Amino acid sequence: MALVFLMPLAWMLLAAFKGQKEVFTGPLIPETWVWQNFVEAWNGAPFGRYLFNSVLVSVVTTVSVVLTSALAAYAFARMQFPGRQPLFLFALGTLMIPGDVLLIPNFITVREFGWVNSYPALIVPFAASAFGVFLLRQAFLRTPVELEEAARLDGATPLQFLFRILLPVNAPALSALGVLTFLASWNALVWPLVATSRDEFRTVQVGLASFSNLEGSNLPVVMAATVIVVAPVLIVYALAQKWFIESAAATGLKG
Amino acid sequence: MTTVKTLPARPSLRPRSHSAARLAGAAPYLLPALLVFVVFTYYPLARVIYLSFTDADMLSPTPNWVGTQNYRTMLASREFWSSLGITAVFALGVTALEVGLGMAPAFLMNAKTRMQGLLRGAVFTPVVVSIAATAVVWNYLLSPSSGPVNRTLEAAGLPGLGWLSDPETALASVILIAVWKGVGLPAVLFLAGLQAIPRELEEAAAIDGASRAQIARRVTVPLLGPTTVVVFFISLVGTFQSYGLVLLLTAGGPAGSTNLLGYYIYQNAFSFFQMGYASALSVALFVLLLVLGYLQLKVAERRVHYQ
Repeated sequence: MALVFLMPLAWMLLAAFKGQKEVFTGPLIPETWVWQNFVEAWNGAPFGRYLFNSVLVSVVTTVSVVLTSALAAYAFARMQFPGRQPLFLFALGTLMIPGDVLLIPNFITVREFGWVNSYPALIVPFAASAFGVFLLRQAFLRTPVELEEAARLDGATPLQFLFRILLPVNAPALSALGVLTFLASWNALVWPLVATSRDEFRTVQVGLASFSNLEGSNLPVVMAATVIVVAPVLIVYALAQKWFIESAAATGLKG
Repeated sequence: MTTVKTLPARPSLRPRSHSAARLAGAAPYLLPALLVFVVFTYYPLARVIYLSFTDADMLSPTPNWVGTQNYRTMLASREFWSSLGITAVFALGVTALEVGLGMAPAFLMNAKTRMQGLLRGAVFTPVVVSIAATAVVWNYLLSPSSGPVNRTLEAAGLPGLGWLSDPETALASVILIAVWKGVGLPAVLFLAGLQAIPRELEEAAAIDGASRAQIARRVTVPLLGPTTVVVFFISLVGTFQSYGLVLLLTAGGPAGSTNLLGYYIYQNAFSFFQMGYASALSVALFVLLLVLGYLQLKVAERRVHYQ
């Protein structure tokens, strides 16, 4: 059964090393390994730039989501203020509104801001997450209040307590949120496709999609490009498989 | 009931300023997240509803109010109804297969075998592979003339299929690819559900002489009921929104056979620049998802009452 899931990816990897004729008619394992395909893929489109953009956008988005979620979750979990309950529902309410319904108005907004073909367009709309607020609030509620009292006695400000104690103590929830946000951001397709048209701001996914249209005739080179795009995630996944699966299970059940 | 003889000078102001101070104290923590929600979720929701009553395109700066024109066009459009039907087939097909096929690997992943680690890793791998890469790979695998899948079929003496290029098979092909990519998540959710089932229940049944198959059918699967409901709705709602595959694999074709509602919206907005009409379609998608959300809530409530 494992084969069903891995075989297509193995095929992709092997095809990336084949010659143009061999890819359709030859045996599964390449007879001669054509490393040149990767050079051609890399030079065929600005993949260096695409990768840089994807790393930048995904890292900044992930850091933003963790930060904005932690701050809001701290207020909702540990502070008393009028309107706390309605504001929390207001935040959670965004979960009811699917992103695809917002595609058109958000595109228009981003265009009015002059953000088309810019990093803010790729980052700011995704800089906060209601799921993140919810997940971290649950974690903070389970953290003993005594910790906060002790920190206060030692003269810590609320922000110091949040960043030095509450966040480290809740590292598992934080990592789950981080892993999922990073993956979603790295793999995003439709929004980056709509919000960027110039190579300087394209992410690897949009770059790959247009490259495969452009180079469709040279399949091994397209496969090599796909390997370049997929490899970073697959390597990280291979190293931290348990994290990925656990965080997915956590979201699925709570989201 | 305390006597209030010694009131402060301005009694009504005190608690108010106190609570205002508390709100002001919490505001810096709340504002970053809430600002994003207002600007990029609630405001656009209001705006898409407004736009759906206008003739907005990409060119004219101020759209004109056209009333319910877009909705009437939508309801009269054959393309809309066919895309709604295709979306229903796609959503139910993918969901049914994901729920059905997701449970099997979950049982295998839960069993303590040597292959357990490999299987867990493999089933979830396509989930971390992007839609763009999935589309490129499957376009190659299913290539009708000489793709590996057809060559394998022909080597086994079977006729090759048109897969994505034949209107008869294109939707089924997209469904299968979506299931390949997505089934890892339900599998993991079922695994979490299995692990939450107390061991004692299965052990008690075993002591009473129940066979393994009986335990699975009479004890384990019924106890997975709540998980199944959750998985069903997560899959269903997810598929209504997943048209990225169609965007890259078939662009709605051939002959409109894979024209999902999401893709139909995308096409009208960004290929035909009919923002007003596409907004009406978006509102329709939103209403549809709200109804599904409501149903999910109702079903979840029933489940809770029965337990």
